[in-house]
Amino acid sequence: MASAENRCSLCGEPAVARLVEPERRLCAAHFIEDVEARVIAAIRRERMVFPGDRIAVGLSGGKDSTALLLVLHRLLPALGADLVAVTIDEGIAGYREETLRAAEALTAELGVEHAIVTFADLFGDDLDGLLVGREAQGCAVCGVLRRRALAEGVKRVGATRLATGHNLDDEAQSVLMNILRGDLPRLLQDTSTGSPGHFVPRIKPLAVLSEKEIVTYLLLRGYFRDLPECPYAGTALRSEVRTMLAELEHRHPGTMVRLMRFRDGIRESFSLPGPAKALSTCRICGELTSGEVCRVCALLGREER
Amino acid sequence: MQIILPDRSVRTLACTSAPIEEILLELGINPTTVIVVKNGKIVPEDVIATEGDEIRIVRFSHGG
Repeated sequence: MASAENRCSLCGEPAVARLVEPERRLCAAHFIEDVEARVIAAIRRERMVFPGDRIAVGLSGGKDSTALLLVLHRLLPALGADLVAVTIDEGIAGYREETLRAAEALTAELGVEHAIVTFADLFGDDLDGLLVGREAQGCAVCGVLRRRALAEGVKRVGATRLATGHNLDDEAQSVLMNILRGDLPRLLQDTSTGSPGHFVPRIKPLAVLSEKEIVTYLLLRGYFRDLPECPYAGTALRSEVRTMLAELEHRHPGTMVRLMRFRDGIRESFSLPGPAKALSTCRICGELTSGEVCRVCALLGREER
Repeated sequence: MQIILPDRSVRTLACTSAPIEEILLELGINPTTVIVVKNGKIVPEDVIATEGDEIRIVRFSHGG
């Protein structure tokens, strides 16, 4: 429906966005305020941050993690927590160089400590080299290795929590993908508590914001850059789910939020009798795993010495 | 009105007045996947574009 009067519901200035639940229009300044207020409300509601925490932002240099660093840089001082950035350089030619430069420029501008962990350093080769002959598995291999690299980065900077830039679209897509795959354990999996001695808790402060809201926030703050997309990006299923959810969100606004409520409801009401598999340590590298050999060592074909 | 598409190509529309959302759908673009900039200012898609307006469509790619 067309709007004759596009004015901010709070101050009457020209609006840049129309939001639902509650229905409102916001000007640039009030949109930025609204975004930051929703993120800090989520941080408090879900107890993501405690005074004295050292929060490591997984900073790829892309839009979501850039927004996350900008938001946390504003919000964390009030929460008594410290901020540091960790970037993983997987070694993806034609993609990572530019985002890495963006990450370095942003942390320098904000005065945030920044650590870079490379696949070459950790795994002996960059992603392009590790994927020769199995390029189609790019996302799956990178996902496993990147999680390990991020954990290593978090250790190096002495962080107490890892914050990632997952947005509402990412999270809603994952919920639907887990349903479509019939993967209940993954639907219920909650990484926000961590595992003492092994994984620090992971937090997703931007999961209350849609991708569109994040890009609007970046455009308004002057930080949106049209960066290249990862050449290995996206599995076929995620791509299909993304298109389907975008259609549903357009025709039925609030679909993604309702999917997240559904997941939270399932998590609250469904309790598994215990971990499906007891965790042990990998016999090759000593990291936590559900089998004898962790997925990183299996993917890299590492052998016991 | 002039429409600057995400690939930076420019299209001129003959219509005198239309809600931007309708223009996007006509172009096969889902409004939830883009940001609309009208005469240099970000606007919600239900705003009406009129003759002489410049509409820039910013598509955001995944990843990051």
